[in-house]
Amino acid sequence: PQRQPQRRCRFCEKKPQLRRPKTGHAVCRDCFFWAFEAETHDTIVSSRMFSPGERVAIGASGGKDSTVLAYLLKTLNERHNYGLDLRLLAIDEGIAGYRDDSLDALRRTEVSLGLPLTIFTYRDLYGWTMDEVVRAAGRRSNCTFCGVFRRQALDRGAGHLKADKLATGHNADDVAETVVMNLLRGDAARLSRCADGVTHTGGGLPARCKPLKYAYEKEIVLYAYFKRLDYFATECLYAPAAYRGHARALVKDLERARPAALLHIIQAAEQIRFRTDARMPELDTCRLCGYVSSQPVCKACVLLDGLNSGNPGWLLANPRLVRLSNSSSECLLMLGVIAPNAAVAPAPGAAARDRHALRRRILDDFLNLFFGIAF
Amino acid sequence: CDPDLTEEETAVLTSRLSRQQQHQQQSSLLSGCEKCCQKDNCPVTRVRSAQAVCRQCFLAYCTHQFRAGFGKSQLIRAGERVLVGFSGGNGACALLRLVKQGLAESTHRKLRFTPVFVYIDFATVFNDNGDGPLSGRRAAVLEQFDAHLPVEFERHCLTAAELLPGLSEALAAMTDGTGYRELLHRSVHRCLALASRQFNCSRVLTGETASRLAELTLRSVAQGRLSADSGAFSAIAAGGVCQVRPLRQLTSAETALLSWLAADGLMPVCPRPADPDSPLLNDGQGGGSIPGVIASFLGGLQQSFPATVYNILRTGEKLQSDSVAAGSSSSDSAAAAATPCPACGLSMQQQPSGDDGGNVRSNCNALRALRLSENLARSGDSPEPSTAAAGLWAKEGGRYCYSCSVLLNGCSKRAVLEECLIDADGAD
Repeated sequence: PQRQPQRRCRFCEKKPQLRRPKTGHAVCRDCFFWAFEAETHDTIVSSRMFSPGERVAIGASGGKDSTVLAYLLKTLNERHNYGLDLRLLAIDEGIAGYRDDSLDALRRTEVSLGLPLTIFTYRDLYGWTMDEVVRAAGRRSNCTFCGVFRRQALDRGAGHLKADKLATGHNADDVAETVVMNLLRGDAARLSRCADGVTHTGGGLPARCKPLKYAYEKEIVLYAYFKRLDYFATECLYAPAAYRGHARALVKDLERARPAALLHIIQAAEQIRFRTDARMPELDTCRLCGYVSSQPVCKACVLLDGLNSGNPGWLLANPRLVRLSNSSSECLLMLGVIAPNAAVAPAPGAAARDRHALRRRILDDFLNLFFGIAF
Repeated sequence: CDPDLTEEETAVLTSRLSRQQQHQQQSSLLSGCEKCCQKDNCPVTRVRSAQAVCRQCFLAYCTHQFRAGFGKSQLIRAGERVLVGFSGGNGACALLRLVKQGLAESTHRKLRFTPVFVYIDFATVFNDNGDGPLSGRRAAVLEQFDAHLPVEFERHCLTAAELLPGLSEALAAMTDGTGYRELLHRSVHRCLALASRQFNCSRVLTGETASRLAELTLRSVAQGRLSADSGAFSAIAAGGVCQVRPLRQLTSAETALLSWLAADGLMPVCPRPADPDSPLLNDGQGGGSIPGVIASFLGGLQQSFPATVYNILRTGEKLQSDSVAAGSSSSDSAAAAATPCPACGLSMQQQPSGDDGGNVRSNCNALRALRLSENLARSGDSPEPSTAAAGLWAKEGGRYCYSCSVLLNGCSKRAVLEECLIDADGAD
């Protein structure tokens, strides 16, 4: 049915300036700010997201979601006396023409909000930039590398800052896309936790929070636009081929058909109940780096191993070899070639790459000699 | 063909794909069917295990998938009367063919239930008085019954307008395409449930394929519920009717191929994509609808990622059923204690308590966030919403689950719609 033009803001007597994508309500700018901030405050309070005195690292990229998140948390922290110590945490993946520009925007945000900024780079943590990863592994699975590396980098960065919580700018669109993606790929384990507002990673790492979990992406854009926040708005150069694009297309079409569908999808994931006899992977720690993992060796170590040995794509092209690669890493541990927890505090990049290459060569020679197995 | 790849990368990928594809094709054509290993039997398709199979093996594969469901579930006992819903589509034709084959005297370990075939006619619901597509469909289905059903099988044609008198009015009163399609879907199953009661049948068989069940699972997610019932082999709906989906292991493409390869003259009356003027397939109100969006999305994605449909169903298998009737017969105490929604028979979804003493999940969820956004009221310049959380829920706590509440609120004649959805004789 056609919407009738509204002459008055839903909450006051002023002339409406926008229509909220979430509810369709016609509101003026000030009431929109008030409603958006009130809803975010309600999400934080009702989920008991933070406790007074906590240090919160805000995962910031310079994009709209993290810029709005930083602005909102600072505003609400002062208005409602959360008592939080807020810090900005950024990860530089090393994507020329994209990440360096967004970090410039982030530095301006650091100045305007007065929040201290710390930047960690992939080069420091792993010895590789994303541009180098793409040159080595190709364009087909680069999002797998970046996603795995970034998640661990954020956790390690938050640990370095001694933060109690890590807040990320995931919005309702992101969460709904993740739910749909996990359902399409049959990943029940991730589906069980992807809609949680507060996720405890374990292993002594800070818990992750999503204060913007119920905020629509369009409303975040409107908020950033009307507040004249400084953010960088360009898609990652390597993003177009990602599988998430399919889920995003579906979520956008569903939102067009029925705007509340996004929250319905999140509702479905929050209410999910698994059978008691359903098998789920158990979380443990990686034997190489100590990061939380459901396998003996975490995905980041496996991917890094492939990059350092000159075979970055072999694992992605052969998913059955994941188990084998974990076994090979177990062999390395048993042979004493690698010390457990060797990379809890990551070594400078180049030296780590050389050590990985040497271990790889030793394992290849060993297995070729005794079993005739070649990787 | 990724425009961002370098020439060298493109050449390497292309040569690898070509070699792989060429190898597959050559090996299939030269070596014949990979199932029966007969070189003379030319493969016609690949089944789930990526085996290239010939016509005979494909027909045997479909029969096996159909029979295996009954064998594993042990749902239907010998001599039971079972209602078989026949719509004239791909799945329905496959179901009719497989049931008829399974009940044939010459079949080894033949099925032993008594089928009652029913076609639900929607012509009068849409004022189709004889010259429209739905009347034509009815005539074609009755011809198929005469041509392909043995004389001893019961067959009936029931009118939806007689089973659900207010359906036409309720459909005209739906305010959006999603509610319209959802009501149509529910009314079909409601009519089958009423027919099963009329003909004293304990089970209802429907021709929903794996593709269709995956669509229904995604649809229920988009409307706020994810449970095992949407994609399960059997599900207990409102009224205690047990719906069985014996074609759950076959995709829509496989059932369409089955109709073509069987070559027995039984072809779908209304194959998809169907008559664009058919009121059963449009949204009634124009514009997009959630079922339409999901159907086109899943069809496209399945082409690129053939395991998509099975991934969705496999995830559903790990979930608990929301059916209260199913829960009471199992050890699931939570489902057994739940109040059933009178419209759909599933458990009432968790309502937020609005009480800080409750656990975090009940106090913070998407439903609460949506209700808060819809019911915000500002008093002056106060930074706090004037509607307290407890007040939001005071007028809630109604009879229906959230999904059914949304459906009912989307109809301008709610009372008429309630009569269509809810069983008047209290069997719910």
